[in-house]
Amino acid sequence: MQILLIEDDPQTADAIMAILRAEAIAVEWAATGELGLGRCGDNAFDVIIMDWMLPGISGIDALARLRSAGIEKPVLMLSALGRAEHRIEGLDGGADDYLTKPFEPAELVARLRALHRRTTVQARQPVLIHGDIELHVRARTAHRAGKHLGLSPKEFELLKYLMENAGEIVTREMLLRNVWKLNFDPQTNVIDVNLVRLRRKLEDGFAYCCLETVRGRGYRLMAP
Amino acid sequence: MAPRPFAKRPAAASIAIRQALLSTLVTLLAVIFLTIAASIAIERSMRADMQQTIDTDIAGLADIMVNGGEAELVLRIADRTALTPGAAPRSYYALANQKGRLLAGNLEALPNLDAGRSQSAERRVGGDPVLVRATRLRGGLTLVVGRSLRGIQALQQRLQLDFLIVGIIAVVATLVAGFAVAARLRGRVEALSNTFTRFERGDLAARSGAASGHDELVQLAGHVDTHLDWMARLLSAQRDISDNIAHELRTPLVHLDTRLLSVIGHNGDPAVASELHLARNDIRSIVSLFDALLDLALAESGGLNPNTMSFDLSELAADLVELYAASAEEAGLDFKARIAPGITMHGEAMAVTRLIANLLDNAFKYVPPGSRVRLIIADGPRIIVEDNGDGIAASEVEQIFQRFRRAAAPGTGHGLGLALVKVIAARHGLVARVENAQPGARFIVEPQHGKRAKGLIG
Repeated sequence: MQILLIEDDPQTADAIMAILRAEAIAVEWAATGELGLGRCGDNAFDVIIMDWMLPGISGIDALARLRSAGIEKPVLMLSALGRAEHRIEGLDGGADDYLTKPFEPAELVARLRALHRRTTVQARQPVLIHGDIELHVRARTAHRAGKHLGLSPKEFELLKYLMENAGEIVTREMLLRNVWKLNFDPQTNVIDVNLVRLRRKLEDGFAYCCLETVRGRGYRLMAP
Repeated sequence: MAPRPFAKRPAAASIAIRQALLSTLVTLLAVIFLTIAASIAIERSMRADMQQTIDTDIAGLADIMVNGGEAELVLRIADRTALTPGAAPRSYYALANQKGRLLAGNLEALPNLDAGRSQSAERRVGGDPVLVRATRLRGGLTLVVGRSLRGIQALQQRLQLDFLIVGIIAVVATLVAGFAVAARLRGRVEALSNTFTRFERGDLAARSGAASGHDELVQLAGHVDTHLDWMARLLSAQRDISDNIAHELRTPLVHLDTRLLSVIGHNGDPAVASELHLARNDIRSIVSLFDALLDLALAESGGLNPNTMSFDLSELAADLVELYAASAEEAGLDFKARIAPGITMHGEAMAVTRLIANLLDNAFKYVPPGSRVRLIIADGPRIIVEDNGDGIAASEVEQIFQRFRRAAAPGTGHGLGLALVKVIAARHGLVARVENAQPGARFIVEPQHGKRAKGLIG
């Protein structure tokens, strides 16, 4: 995976580059919106990280120019503006995901991998297969080793999202935003409990588990 | 500010329509008054003329009596009564001697009048209204002369009919003109009102744009636009300031966080790493508290969001119930919802989701295991979350929606959840209150004074 990072603060850019390189993700840095826009057309990049508040052309304006130029590459908006309203504005402005500073390194990596994966073929297939789990997107049914899993519509969405990101960590915030379409974090531990329920349905009657809790980070559908 | 709907008000509530109806009523009253006044004036004038004709006739006959005597008078009266009345009003005569015996004329009896005082009055003769005067002549003779009033009455009726026709035309014309003017006026006032509504719903570019003309409404529209320009500038400035503060505060915190991460990475001591992780959590707490405060402040000051729409509250609540059901079961709570189907409202769907989630979070946090929690969505819209937990102390009821207000509470939270509930409710023209459910607490979000909430406000 190749990342283009558009970020004006050198210290933050260094930290991000260090995080990505530690994960063996290639990254190039552009310090202004103008420089970044000049590089966006480069096909080598898979995902663009765009800071919102840039000197000169702002991230949201750069994004608008990018989209109007027909460049549909996934963009992760990275911002110091963390209010719910900003998230909506960022996503409506054409960003594919929105992450606020400061962030957990694992969260950034998980989001980038999820964005990258979305552009691959797997996400658009009518049938998702991961190990012995099979998910029919149109029929909205799921089976494990041929056994029908009785999932609620939301549990189906949850499993689908986990399967689209199989092998990668998905964070609570990613699940809230992508499965439950919420842009705020409820105080009640709703995500954890729903994940526990899904795990029970997935693992009931099977010898080995497949849904892993990554402490302090999120969840991962493990490799079969 | 109160919610202002796009919906049309009933016509009777419109000042312009009321004005049009009032004008019509005034026209109607004026026509009625004119009809009556004209009718009375004409009648008086014609009666006076008729009285004068009668008196002249009497004077003439009195002269004949003086010059020609009784026989001549009888003949002249016979001449007069022999005349077939044409267009002139019919004439009546009677001449009687001292004993009251009729000597001449076409009256069959003497009217009951005091001839000594030349009394004049209106009498009926064979169904004909007649103005008569009786007078005493030389030799004790009584002469009575009368004229039919039928002509005056016919004229009055024709006049009244004419006035009625003119009146109907005037009233209809006033009504049509009044409504046309009212409709135009109403349209202009509504255009102004809708400009405010659009602005309140987040369209900061909404202006009345009324430029031509010099009337009061154009002047008012000018003031409205100037005011909205000013509001838009203030809102934009407020947003810029809060964005800048957020950015300037977060940037050093991000640096601090990065440094802490780096130290954790290079330091093998687990005790130190554990402390540094706690420090990182503190950074997150500061940032999230700051976001919550900014959210609250901007929502409260009417920071406008263009992402408003009509949405299905019932559906939204049902989704949340599904999300919270598992947590409730896990916490040993009896959580059920009673959601009336198809309740829609206009506003920020995500904010309303957050409102309900905050109420549920609050209930789940404070009730002991085994308690009952109910979410009720009813028409209005009314959003109710009630429980049978420990309830709220009477002294807390007033302050519970204030920021940083936390009951002696387990767990975390900024103490801003219920404050945000109140603010989000207010943005949607709703009020949030709490009452004792005996036992437990009942949080109610509903339209003010039981009115229907009509939409989002700034």
